[in-house]
Amino acid sequence: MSLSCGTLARGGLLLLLPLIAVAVYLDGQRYDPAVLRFNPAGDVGASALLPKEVAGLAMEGPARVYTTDNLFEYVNGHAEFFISLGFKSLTVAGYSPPGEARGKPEYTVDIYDMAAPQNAFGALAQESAGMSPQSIGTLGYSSSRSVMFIQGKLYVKVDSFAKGDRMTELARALASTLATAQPEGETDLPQFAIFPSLGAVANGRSYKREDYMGLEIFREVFEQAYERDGARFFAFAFTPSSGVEDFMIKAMEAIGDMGAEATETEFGGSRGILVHDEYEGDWALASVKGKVAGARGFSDPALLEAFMEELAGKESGS
Amino acid sequence: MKRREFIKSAAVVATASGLGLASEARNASAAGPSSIQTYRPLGKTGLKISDISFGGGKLASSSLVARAMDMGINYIDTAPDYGRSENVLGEHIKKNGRRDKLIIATKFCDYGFYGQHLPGDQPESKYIQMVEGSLERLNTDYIDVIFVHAMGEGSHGQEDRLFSENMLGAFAKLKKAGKARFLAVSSHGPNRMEELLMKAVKSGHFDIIQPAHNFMQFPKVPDVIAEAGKRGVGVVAMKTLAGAKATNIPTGGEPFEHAAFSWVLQNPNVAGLIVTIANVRTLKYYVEASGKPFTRQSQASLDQYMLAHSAEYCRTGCGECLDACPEGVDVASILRHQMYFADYGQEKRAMAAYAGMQKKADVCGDCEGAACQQACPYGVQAKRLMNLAHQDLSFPA
Repeated sequence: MSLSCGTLARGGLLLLLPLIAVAVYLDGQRYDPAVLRFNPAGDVGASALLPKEVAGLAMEGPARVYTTDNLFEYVNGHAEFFISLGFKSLTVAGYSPPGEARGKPEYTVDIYDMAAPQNAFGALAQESAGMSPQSIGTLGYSSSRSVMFIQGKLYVKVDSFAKGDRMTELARALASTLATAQPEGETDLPQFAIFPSLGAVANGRSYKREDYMGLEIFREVFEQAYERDGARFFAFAFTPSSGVEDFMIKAMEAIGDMGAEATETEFGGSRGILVHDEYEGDWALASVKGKVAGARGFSDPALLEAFMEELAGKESGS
Repeated sequence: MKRREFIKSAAVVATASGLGLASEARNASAAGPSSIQTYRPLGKTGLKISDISFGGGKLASSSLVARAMDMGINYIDTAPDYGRSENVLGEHIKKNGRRDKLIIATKFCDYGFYGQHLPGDQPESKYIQMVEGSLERLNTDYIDVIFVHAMGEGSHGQEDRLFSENMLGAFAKLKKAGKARFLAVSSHGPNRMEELLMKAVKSGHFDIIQPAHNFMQFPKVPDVIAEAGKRGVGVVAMKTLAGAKATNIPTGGEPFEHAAFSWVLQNPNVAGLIVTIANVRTLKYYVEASGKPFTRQSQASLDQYMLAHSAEYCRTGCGECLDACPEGVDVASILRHQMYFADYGQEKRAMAAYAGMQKKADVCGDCEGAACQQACPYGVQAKRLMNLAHQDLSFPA
């Protein structure tokens, strides 16, 4: 009995079917976080913003996206912290040198979409404890194995379990990419709106978590550098946890304890303190719109007083 | 209230400027009890340093350096990888001068975040380039002390870094050019600290050592310090507060920090200690400990601290439990990773290191004998701590 070629081919295909089924089954069992954890609602997070290649590194595998529903899978025990701050989505990607992908990326990039710049700042402020300031993004910090920064509403962390020698470079490149990708107007921090815009140095913003000017009670301070008529000085502002009035009383005591001379006064109709400090120079504080705002670094006390009047009288956002 | 109708709340402290060491101390004395009382020779360097000196790891304000100098502090420790520490110190020098009244110690490492220590295989030019960067940030044309830093930390800690020909060659060139004066080595462990520092002392290459030294950890450090004393190698102590887990415990007598400092400084071969100073309050508080003798009250204060923390404090460098576990779990290393996780805030680093260990602490939960605990001469509750470590250091499944 003889069989035609067509019959043989059909038979062969039938024999292959179980093998194909087994292969598909086994592939389906392989652990792939990108498949298992991909948000079913279709939110792609910041995936579209992530470059395939950056800073001489290539993205390894697909990006993963987490939402409020499954964030706990990635930051177990810390999800509520982000959600309470306004967390919208988290995009996680791995980067390795081209050709060196081994299933364990050399660098991981976490991009938290926090819905608003102030939320992103809130996350950065909490997570950057003890880290060193870096000029990356709107505000940046780093430690031996992490670089973190905010860019508009995005809070970004770059981690490395390996040498980490390209970590800062990667963070800077990402900050640049993310800055251009965000809509105009969504990139500013409202905490800086209290400062006058005239003479404000473009990259002169910083945040000091503690011990501003060596004073323990000056915490979580936003600072803006200025250049006017060739002179450089700084304005600062913060919201004391005990309230402004209580803080002004404590400030008088603390300034006295450090050996400086404090004078109660008014700026723009608001309660203020003028300080003559042998070490820090003349500086001043005032109660401004529910915050404590001040200035330092002036060589001429008259200019300090004039700036304080301007700061205290400034309408928010102008 | 009008601006000129003011209330003065404090007097201005005495002005100080352009003074030598003796007059620095005199001026500091004028400021009251918060002034340095003791200066000790730093080995054979010819330098004398304040017994309480400035750890600049969190230096954020240049005015704090000026205040410290006026209280008599004359030695400050910084590094390129302590954030903006070198820049801030440089701001102080630019503004206040008095460079010759300050002994500046910095490190052979890259600028940026902590952990940029140069490995041993770097070319000579790299070491020189690092120091040139420090000179620029510090606004100075010379550095007093250059450290090979953090021997025994992480993957570093090998002799090739300690005795790198290129490092030694670079330092010789820098010294000849008047850009660096003394070579030093530091270690805060956790690996082979005493062994590496002893080799450094005996090698004759180093003018100064800076060990982690306190009343709880590294029991063999006094041997190294004694050897350094014999050979004229200066000793600056660090990590003197033994982790400072909780400094508000009632001691009923001498403040814990002052007792811990005087314990270290009772060793005549220790020239001084560095402690992180971040604000005016801690500056004044620490300086008040200068010149204090170690007394029975000091010991009582340390005893209180030990009582509060001893059972949860694995002494880095001890190693008595190393061979105790029948399961072969490296108890000391796991508790060291836990220290990085819980005390140093280096969670991911600690978790990654733990993930790479062959034997983990998951077996400790069912352990009945707790041989590690039996072997510990300090009564550390190792079983409980190992279970906690496994919980903290494991990645979520």
